[in-house]
Amino acid sequence: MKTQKKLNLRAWMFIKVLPAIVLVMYYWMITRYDFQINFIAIQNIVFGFFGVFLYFLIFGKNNRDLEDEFAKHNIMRVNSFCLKISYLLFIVIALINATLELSTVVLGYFAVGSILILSIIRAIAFYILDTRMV
Amino acid sequence: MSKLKTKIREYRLLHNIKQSELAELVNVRRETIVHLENGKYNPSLKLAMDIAKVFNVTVEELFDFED
Repeated sequence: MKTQKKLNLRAWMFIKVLPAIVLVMYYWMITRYDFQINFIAIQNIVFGFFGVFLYFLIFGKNNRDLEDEFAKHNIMRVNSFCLKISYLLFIVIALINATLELSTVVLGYFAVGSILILSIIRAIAFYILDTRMV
Repeated sequence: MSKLKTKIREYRLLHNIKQSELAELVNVRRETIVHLENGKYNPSLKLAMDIAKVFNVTVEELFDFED
């Protein structure tokens, strides 16, 4: 019997959080005020990592386990849950900005932070659904 | 609401097949078989037919609804 893989799908879902972490790092780097010339090189390396991660997530070969119908069912449930969370999150961000009139840099932090939070929630929610079947 | 009851475990033990082997045969993860056997997941018609084919039985013999 032929067997491929084997990277656990739950671990795979957590790996998908990495681009969001790199994105936050990159944003922090480009919005720093204490600019030094060697920061550009580090910045570009981080951006390169982000690009590579994104490429593999979008065009790369999916984990074979993603073909599993139970996994697909859970991913759909998790995605719909995350959509609702993102609605709430962005409404809160909009209201905060409307009242406090934050700078665009801070709003950017809210945006990349939201992406990070959503991707972490997605991975955790998938893990809970996949193990306990709530 | 009626609950889906399966005889997958019985047939699997009868055929001396491990959960992982059955999962490989029907192209799903072992976790899916675990949840199916525990009645926590309702399979698609395709998966139900694939499993029935492995045990050489009909879908009706493998799955039943209890009230």
